[in-house]
Amino acid sequence: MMKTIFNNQIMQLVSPLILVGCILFSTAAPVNAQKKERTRLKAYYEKLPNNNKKISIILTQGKGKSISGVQNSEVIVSTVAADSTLELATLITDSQGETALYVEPDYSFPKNEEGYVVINVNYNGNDSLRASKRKIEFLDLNLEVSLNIIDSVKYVEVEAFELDNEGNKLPIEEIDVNMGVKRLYNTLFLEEAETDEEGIASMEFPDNIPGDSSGMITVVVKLDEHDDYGTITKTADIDWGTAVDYSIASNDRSLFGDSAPLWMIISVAVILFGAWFNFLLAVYKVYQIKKLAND
Amino acid sequence: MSSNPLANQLLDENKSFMEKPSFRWKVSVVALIAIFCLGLYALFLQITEGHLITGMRDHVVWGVYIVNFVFILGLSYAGALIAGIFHLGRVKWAIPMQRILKLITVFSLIIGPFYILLCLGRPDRIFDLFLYPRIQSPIIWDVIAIVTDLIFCIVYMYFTYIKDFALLRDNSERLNMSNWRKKFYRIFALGYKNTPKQEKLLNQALDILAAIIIPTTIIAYSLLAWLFGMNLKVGWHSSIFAPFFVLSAVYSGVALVILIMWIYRKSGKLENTFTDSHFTHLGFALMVLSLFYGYFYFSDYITDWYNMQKTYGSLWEKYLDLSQYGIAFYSSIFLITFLPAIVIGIPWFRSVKSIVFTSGAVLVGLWVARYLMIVPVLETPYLPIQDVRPDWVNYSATWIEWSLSLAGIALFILFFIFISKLAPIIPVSEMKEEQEEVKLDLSLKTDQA
Repeated sequence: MMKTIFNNQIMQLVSPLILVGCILFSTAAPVNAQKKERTRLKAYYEKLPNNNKKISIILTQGKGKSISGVQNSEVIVSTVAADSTLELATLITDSQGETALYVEPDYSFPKNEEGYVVINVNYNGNDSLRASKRKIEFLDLNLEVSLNIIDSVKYVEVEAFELDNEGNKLPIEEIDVNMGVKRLYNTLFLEEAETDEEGIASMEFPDNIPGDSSGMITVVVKLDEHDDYGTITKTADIDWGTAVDYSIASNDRSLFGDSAPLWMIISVAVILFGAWFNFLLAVYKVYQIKKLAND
Repeated sequence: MSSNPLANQLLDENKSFMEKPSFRWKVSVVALIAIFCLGLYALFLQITEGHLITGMRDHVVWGVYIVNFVFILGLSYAGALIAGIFHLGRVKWAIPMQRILKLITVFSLIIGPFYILLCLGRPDRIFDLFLYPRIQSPIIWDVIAIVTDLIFCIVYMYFTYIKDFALLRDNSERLNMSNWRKKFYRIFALGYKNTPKQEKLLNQALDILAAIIIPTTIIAYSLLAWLFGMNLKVGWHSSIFAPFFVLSAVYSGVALVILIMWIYRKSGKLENTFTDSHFTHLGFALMVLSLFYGYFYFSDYITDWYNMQKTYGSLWEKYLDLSQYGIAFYSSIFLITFLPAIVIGIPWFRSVKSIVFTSGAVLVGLWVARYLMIVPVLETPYLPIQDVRPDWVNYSATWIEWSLSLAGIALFILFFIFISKLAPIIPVSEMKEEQEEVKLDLSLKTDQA
């Protein structure tokens, strides 16, 4: 009797628990099985020297030291126009998870009420990776570079402005711009200045910068990763550098030239000749053994 | 020659090479061929899928392959160098191991260069090295040195076989040899009949080759060292590299000879040929070399340490940090510099088995030392590696590289197994002459008495 009551009471308590457990287990199992890794999108706006606009995108997965790019994945770039979203392009990431959208200068992005261009970047995820998105906003700033010589002193003048709806210039003050010259691998930055109330920053250009054989250099002016304006680069070519003759005499015998130094050729020849002469002498002696046997 | 009872006796004592392969022999061969085939499969995958399936990347462009290349070439040059010195020095006690030394040289020289080819992203361009060589390039020096040395060493090895081939040819009927053996020995003995004139010519040829092989191997391995030393890299750009390489080569060569002698002694019942004194002699050589190695290593380090630059410091941090290369570094130092001094230097530890064990440990230590010489250096360039994935900065060998490494070892052992079936592993004719001389000396003493 006691056994029956005990069993019944136990069963009444345990049965719902088992049921709830089964339900939880049955729902939890697929969730665990489909656990997806988190992805992260980064996007940057940049205006190139030719006035093309570039939206650089990086899609990554993992965290900490194990971050790696997500390759061959579709990323959708769109812009917000009034209340609707306008899809601009669908891009595929490369082996490092990077891709970029280039926009021609004559295309003008729709702007919101505050004058900002809004770009949305979306990644929809897949079986193993979660979806992610990124929004960037920027204002369309223009930089104009003029190169002047005043009293034998060279100046690089930069004008920063936005255009209103009628195309009038609106000067932008308190913008930090860098000035430098293009070198073989990177830009050598020389000076930094802030635009005044007229949107103009003026920087003196030094006299001792090496140029090509005719003194030509490429002056670079850059606004770097500004919160509102992104990165803007402008370049201008001018003969303000000192002329440098880069030609190398082609007949020089040197370690890194076309012809080896004579001492090296002679040394190698002597060593090789000495070794091979002795080797052939040894072979000849063994050949004589065979000859003696035949005789 | 066949009428000489001493020669017949020695040949009879060492005719195990003619015996029918045992079951154990066949199993060993099949297992080694299987390992070699795994390596071929890995090679196929590497060729079809590219270097992406190896651990090598943009920064660490050299890995286990180049470690094997340097290590195996060291063994080869060591074999030639030691054999040449023993030959010219007329070192009598070393005669039984002469053939092993020459075989190590040739087999290593055949296998080693393949590893450098495995490092090439575009192996189809290998012929450009010969079509458009630049004599200023250390790579060209190395190519010339390896090719020259390979030809010299193969011919040298063959010349040392001539007397034995002649002996075998003359005993072919008595030993009931198969037809192919008779034909083979007849052709390759070159009609050698041990006449005084023939013997003089052969000895002259061997002396000449031994004399040119010694400088050739020293130059060849120095060239390989300069291949590293000419690079303006921390850990490589050192004037001590060439002698250090030669010393390491001799060290590894002595260790390998001890190991191979012990294997033949155990499997071929050659206790009377490879005696305890052989192991003791080479054991002491091992100990002395370990002390020299320690001296070179310390000298190289202390010179740099006094003017340690930032990048050099970060390389040494990697060596000393237990979470990076610390364990490998300390282990290799212990195995290379301290273990031989302890085991061979203290009489209580010294025995044939302990010497053989130490030789194996030294070989492992020297391989690890080569790894530490190459991989951490490539992971530590002067310009910091930025904005790349961690697995591109830090090298880790894949199963492809390990399979091809094992395939090389398997091929090396297979070469030894097959060549051991061709002729005795000890130069019987040379030993016969040695015993004849001893007998002559004894008889003279008897006459005088």
